[in-house]
This record gives sequence, structure tokens and C-alpha cells, in this order.
Amino acid sequence: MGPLFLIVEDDLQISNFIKFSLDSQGYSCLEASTGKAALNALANEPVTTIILDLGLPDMDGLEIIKKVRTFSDLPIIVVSARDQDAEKVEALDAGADDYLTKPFSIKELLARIRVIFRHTGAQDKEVQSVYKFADLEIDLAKHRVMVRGKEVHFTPIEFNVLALLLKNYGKVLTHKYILKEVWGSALDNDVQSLRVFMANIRRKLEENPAKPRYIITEVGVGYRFADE
Amino acid sequence: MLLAAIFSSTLTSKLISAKEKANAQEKQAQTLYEITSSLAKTRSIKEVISDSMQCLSNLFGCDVICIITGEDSKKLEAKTLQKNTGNLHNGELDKDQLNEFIAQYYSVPIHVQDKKVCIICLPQEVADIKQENGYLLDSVFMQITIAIEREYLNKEKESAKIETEQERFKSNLLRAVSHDLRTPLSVITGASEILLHRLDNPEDINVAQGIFEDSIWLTRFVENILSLTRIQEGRLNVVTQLEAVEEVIAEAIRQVQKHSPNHNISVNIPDNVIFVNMDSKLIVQTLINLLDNAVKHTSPEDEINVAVTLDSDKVWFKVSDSGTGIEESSIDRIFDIFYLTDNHRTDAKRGMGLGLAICKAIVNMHGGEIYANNNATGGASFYFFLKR
Repeated sequence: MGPLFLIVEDDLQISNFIKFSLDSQGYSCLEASTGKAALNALANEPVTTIILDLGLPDMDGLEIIKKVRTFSDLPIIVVSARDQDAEKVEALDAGADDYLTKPFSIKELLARIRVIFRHTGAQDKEVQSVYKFADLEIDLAKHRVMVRGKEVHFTPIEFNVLALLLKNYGKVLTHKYILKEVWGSALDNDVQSLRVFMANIRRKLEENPAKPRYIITEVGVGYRFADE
Repeated sequence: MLLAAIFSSTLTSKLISAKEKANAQEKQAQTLYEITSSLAKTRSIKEVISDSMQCLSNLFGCDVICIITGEDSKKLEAKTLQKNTGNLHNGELDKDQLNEFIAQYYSVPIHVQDKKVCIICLPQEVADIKQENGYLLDSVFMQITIAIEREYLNKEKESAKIETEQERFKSNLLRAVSHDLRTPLSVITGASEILLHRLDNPEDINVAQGIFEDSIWLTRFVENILSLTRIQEGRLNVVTQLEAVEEVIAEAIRQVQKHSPNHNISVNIPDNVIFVNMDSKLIVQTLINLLDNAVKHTSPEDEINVAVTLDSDKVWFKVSDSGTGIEESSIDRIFDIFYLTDNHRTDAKRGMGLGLAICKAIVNMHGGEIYANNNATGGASFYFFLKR
């Protein structure tokens, strides 16, 4: 059976638009306009992915994420307005997999879904060890990074950050998440040192750090490894 | 004995003159008190003026004329108070005749905040009184000036209050409208995008492309209005933290290239990582607006460049292009709200006025400044600084 999406969105027009986009790719969808209806659908249907608007009439979208995470790992893509940065970060920290900012294009939506499918597929397999891109080759097992044919030295922390981003290829990781995973703590002022590490990593990987191809900054949210 | 008589008479005359002096002083104090208390009760500039005229007429027992000079018209309002009847008569005076007219009188101009509000004309004889009794006359006019000034400030405060309320109403309305536009715009953008993918006929695709591009333009416009209303109301408190300049620039370029992939944007930044205190979202928006503006005024083969340079205490951001440039006459006003240049391409390149106004508002909020000029080699440059 193919994937089944649950679209949780109180605005019928937007919900229709998302459904339409997913239909066009041959995916099946359910729609829920309230948090209650969403939880009901989750209990009764074999939902594989949730697309969730944070602003619902009866419930905070964040609550739904927390509830879902108590019993399931199924991917959640959050949809939010542009001035809801704080909510976005909270949603990601609560366990959402990715986010889209309104208005988003079908291209963006489908790209996020592809990333999610790659991750859910990868979980069953062995963790990938070698990543190859146009001018980049990274071997996680051997701790080796080749940039345009030359080996580049990475400090252990820099390498750990890079490895974390690669394992979550395409997915946005919040500052807090990266700090927790790499340093084991997440104090607010550590974000500053994370920025310095990211700047150094960018200088080692990118041809032009101000027009990065791999290490993408999501301002106010976190970082994402991509191949743009 | 004689000596004693002379002594006592001098003493007596001294006593008498002292008593006269005391009487005169008491009268002055009484007059001043009357004027002050009567002026304290007035409720408008008009009332202050008529009350002052009444007091002056009582004090000197003469006719009083007051010429209102505040208004900027050819005819001046001239009020005359007749001492016998106590009637206030309104007349007019040609502005050209003003100097000639006041020369006939002992005239005292009343200034409030460096502005001449009115001229009070008294008979020439009053000048003689002034010689003996300058203190009283000065005090009276000072009281009048203070009273007029008070009413002036009240009036200003009142109109400022009304203006603030109107502003608030305007931005509330703008915000409500903009907010409600967001959702339908999302739907229009999405639906036209779906059509773009589904249609085969090139003409149909063109139509859908038009809807798609304009809906994106409108979406940015709406976001800009929302930001501007928030900035103007001071609700958007800048929460600054140290941010890496390169990350902010990269994000802005990425956003712009999403919709304008054919324009080439080059970047020059110093090798070292630069951290600046800022609200990153807002500075990203500033850069997006400047880059969008550059894209609008260039063709894909033109150049767009973002450069960062360092001063001892400032970080300069510069967005320059080799496009059509800014009309020289409009450079000064280019950051004004809703100002659109009369540039021949304006019609096809809408909305720059608001975008640039927001840039200025954001940069100013950060304690920086923003400037625009034309390059010697063609095209325009916009640059702003943030404090390090």
C-alpha cells in the first residue's frame, strides 16, 4: 500500500490545494480541519505522513506533535505563516521533521516529502557511510572529507557537526538539536559558538561561503545540508 | 533744633516716599494678580487675546488693538477694544500696510516658539509709562505670552493626539486587510502553479505564468505592508543578537533566486567571519527588498553584486547593479513611503516605494543609515551600515 497523507488544516482552500498537489503525484490523502478530527483519523487510519498547520481552531498544533510523538515516529511536516518563527522552532524541537512557510510552492512541498521518504526508507537499511556530491566526498567511517579532489582536515567537533547534518540530509536541524547532539548541552549562548563552527565548516566545503551550495542556513531556525 | 527739624523733615519725606512706593508696588502687584488670574481661566488663544486686551485697557485706560499675524493670508485680522464701550470690534488689515500701521502705536509683538502670534498696539503715551514703570509693563506682556504659549501647546498636543489615532486606525486597517489577503494569495499562487504544470498549450501556460508571478509579487507586497505597520507602531521590537553576516546574505540571495533564478548575483565579503548585532529576519528582509529592487531594474545579463566592507565601528552592506539606475531627481525621496519614481519603466516594475521604505525603517531601528546613489558606470547602488 502506498503512503497515506493526513492534511491537518482549518482553511479549506489551502487544504484543497495541498490535496490537489499530492493527488497529482498519485498520493492518497485524508483531510482534517480540527485537532480533534486529526487525532481521530490517526487512531483509525493507517496514516504515514502528517502535514500540519500550526494554527488550528481547537488545539495548538504543537500539542498534536507532542501527542503523536508519544506513540509514533511518523513524519510530520509543519506549515506556518512567516511571522511564526518561534512556533516553527518549537515544533521542530517537539519532534516535527520539517517545515514549510506560507505561501509555499508545490515544488517546495514535494521536495520536503522526498526528503522525508528518503529518511524513512533509510532507517531500515544500514546507516550510509559514504556521501558523494559533485565536488565533495565524505566518508563518515574513515573520518575523511575530500573537497575538489583534495583531503581537507576537519577537527573532531567540525566533523561531528558535518556528520550530523549529512545523516539528516535535506532536513532542517534546529540550533538546539545540533548543540544537544554534538555538545550534549543546549545553552542559548552556545548558538554563538555553533555559528563559528558552521562558518569554519563552510569555509572548508564551499567555494563561496556567502553563496553556499551545501550548508544552508535557515535564519532564526537552524541549518540544513543540501545540494543546491 | 534746626538740625533736628531738618533731620526729622527729611525723615518724614523719606517715609512718605517709601509709603508712596509701597502703594504703587501694591497696585502693580494687584494689577498683575488680576491679569494672571483672568488669563489662567481662559480656554483658547482667542480668549487669551480678548482677555489680555481687556486687562490692558483697564490698566492704561485706553483703546487696545490686536493684530493676529499667525495666519498666512493677505488680510490680517485686527481686533479693536474701545475703552468707553468695552466692545470688541473685528476688522481687517492688509498685510502690506502692517508696518506702517504699527508704527503709529506703541506696538509689542508676542512671540511663541519663535513664531509671531500677534501684535498688540497701544497709544504712544504708554511708552512714557514704560519709562517710569517698565517692570509692570514687561510683566504684563510676559503673562500674556505665557498664556498664549500654554494654549498653543494644548492645541498642538490635541492635534498630535488626533493624528496618532488616525495613524493607528490606518495601520490597523492595513494590517487587517493584509492579513486576510494572505490565505487567498497562497491559494492563487498554488493553483496557478498547478495549472503551470498541467497545461500544454504555450499560450495557456503564459496566462498561468502571469497569474503565478503576480501572486508572488502581491504576496511579498502584503508581507511588506505587514512589517511596515508593525514597525511604525513600534510593536516590532528589535531583538538583536550576534549573527554571521555571510549567513544572512546567503539566506537573502537564496530567497531572491527562488523567484529570479536567471539573474546572477555575485558576492564579495571579507575572508573573516563577521558577527554583527542584528535582528536577522529583518536584515534578511532588507537585503531581499534591495535585491528584488535590483532584479526589477536589470536584465539577466546585467550584474548584481552584494558587498560587505568594514569600517572601524561599522559594517557596510552594499547592493549594486548595472541596470537602469535611479532618476537623479528622485534619489532624495526614494526611501519615502509609497514614493514611486516617474521612471519610464515604473509601470512594469511596481512597488519599489514600499520595499525601500521598509529597508529604511529597519536599518534606522538598528541605529544604522541607508543611502542610494547612481554608479558612475551605470546602474544604482544602495548601501547601509550597522554598528559593530
